[in-house]
Amino acid sequence: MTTSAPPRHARDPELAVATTALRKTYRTRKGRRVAVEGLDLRVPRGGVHGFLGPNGSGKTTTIRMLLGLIRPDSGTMTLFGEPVPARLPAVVDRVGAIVEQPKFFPAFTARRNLELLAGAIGAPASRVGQVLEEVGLGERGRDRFRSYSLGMKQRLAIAGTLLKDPELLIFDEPTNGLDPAGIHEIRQTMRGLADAGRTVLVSSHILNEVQQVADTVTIIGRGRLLAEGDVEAILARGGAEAARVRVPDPAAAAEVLVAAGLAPQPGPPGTVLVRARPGTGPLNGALITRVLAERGIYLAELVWQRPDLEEVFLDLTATEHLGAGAPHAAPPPPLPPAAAPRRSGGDR
Amino acid sequence: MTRSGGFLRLVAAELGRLRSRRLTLAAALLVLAAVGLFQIAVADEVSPPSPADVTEQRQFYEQAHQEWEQSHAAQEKDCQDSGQAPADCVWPEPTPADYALTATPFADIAPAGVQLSAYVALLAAFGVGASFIGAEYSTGSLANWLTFVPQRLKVYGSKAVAVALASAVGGAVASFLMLGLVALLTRLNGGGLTGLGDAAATAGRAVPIAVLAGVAGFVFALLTRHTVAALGIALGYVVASAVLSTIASNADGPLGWLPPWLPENNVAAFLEHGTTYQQYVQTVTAQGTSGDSVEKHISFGHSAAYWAVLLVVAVVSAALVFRRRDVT
Repeated sequence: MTTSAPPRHARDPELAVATTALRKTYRTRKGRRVAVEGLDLRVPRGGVHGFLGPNGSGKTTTIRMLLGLIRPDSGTMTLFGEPVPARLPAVVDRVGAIVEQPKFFPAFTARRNLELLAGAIGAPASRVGQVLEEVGLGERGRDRFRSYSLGMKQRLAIAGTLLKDPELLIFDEPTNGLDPAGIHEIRQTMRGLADAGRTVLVSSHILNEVQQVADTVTIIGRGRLLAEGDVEAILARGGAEAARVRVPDPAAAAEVLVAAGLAPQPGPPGTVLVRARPGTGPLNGALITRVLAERGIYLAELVWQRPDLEEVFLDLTATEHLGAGAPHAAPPPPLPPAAAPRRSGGDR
Repeated sequence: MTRSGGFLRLVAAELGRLRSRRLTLAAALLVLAAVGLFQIAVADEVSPPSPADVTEQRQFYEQAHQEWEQSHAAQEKDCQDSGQAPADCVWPEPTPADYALTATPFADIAPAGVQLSAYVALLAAFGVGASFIGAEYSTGSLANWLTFVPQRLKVYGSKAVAVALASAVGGAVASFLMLGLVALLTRLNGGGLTGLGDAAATAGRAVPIAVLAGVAGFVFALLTRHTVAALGIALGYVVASAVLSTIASNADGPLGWLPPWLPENNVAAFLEHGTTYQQYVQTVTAQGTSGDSVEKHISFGHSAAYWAVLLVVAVVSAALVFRRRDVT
């Protein structure tokens, strides 16, 4: 493990989490397997930060290294500008984390599990009841942990993190195994925590779920950084928005739209997919409607299509799935061209 | 804002968890049951014989004496005729004292009781110590705990100290409760308490033995990450020791040096303030080979040093492993 001091940017007080050139390998029967390869992660303070990547891309390993559960081979990490794991004890009270599934003693009640944690960190016993109420488990606090549903276990784990009143919450795949209501609940909880001024780092491979709550994201693949930044900026890398126009004669409509300076493409049967030409500004729905109507072509439907995080993610990580046998030293895949065909789209 | 890492607070939290565990309760009940059941035997041993028992024993004596009168001369003659030395053929005359029923003295029964409770406490402490950390690995709650208290050595130390303290309490309760109950029953039956000091010293030595067992279980389970694996090591040793002891019983054999280093002999030496064991020694003379059983001694000091060294090595090794180990 490296002993070098974190670089200046990693000590940026505006960053809740920063890693530089983080690397972790595991020994396997076939030699060493790279889990995290030179990862630079920057999580700004405040808001929800999505930490995205396919299964096995190194998200959980990175989180475990940040929390001191496993040791990196090299690289530096900071939490609130403090190098970890060396200074982890100094900042651990500011960090709450749920790594993978909630892990408590199954035979103990929820309350007893939290009492033990509260006792260990010196939190007042009264705080246990408060956090159970906060996550809606006040009336089930005396039930054994093993009797809880997965959603309740997640809520109990969140209650556990709140014992410390942390500034940074790290949730690792928090919605795994939850039903839609549970997913919605966790999403609301994360948003609420961020709105209350906390920083939430959430790892997930379910992109649409994260897109709905994240302010910023980091996308990794094979343990390496693929993209990072504001969600809007990341989405912009996925290409321009489009409008799907349903008309009686798509070919005639396409000619009209080309003449109007737009860039139509064949869409699903009976439709044309319309985009603005590069450099001509945002797509104008009124223009589409007007030019078609002027030629006697009346719309049956106009649906806005916008690239979502899942598409960007799939493009960025395509080689992760296709190139399973590729060496880890290969460079990260290039970003897709803006005009690449979309796999799916969200209506608006 | 909370502050993580106060060592005493961690120990208190770990003791709280130990207290809440069902296995701890089960182990305590096991120890109490063993102590309680032994009192049934004690009550029988220390009580004076009933008139019916005395009459029965008198009848046994008379039958034995009658048989002796009828047969001893013929038996002794047959024995000598077969070539045995006269001294080896004497059939001693039964006496009433041979058939007298007397209460077992406290000095005999108390050490036996204390040793029994010490061994039961040893087993219970080993199981509790192993499952205490084994359960944390199997449930994954150790990783959760470390996200609250990341100081590995403090976490390790607090758990080890909690196990040691609980084992000490368990060992002390088991041994001194046993001693107290045996003394009480002896006094209630009019017996004296000669040997109380020695028995109390044995009970006192049972406490560190329980601590050793608890810490050993804890260390084995920590190193293997499984309660069952730790118990397997213990059971495996029980099987292996039967073989080893057999081989080591020959002083001239390849493992003749082993008995003073076997854990069970050192437990006995510590508990009994020194112990003896038998070894077979062969003597080759011009007339041939003969064998004798020789009694050898393991001192209390030897066993104390043995356990001190093992304890330090085990605790330090486990700490070094735990400090660097990935916890998932």
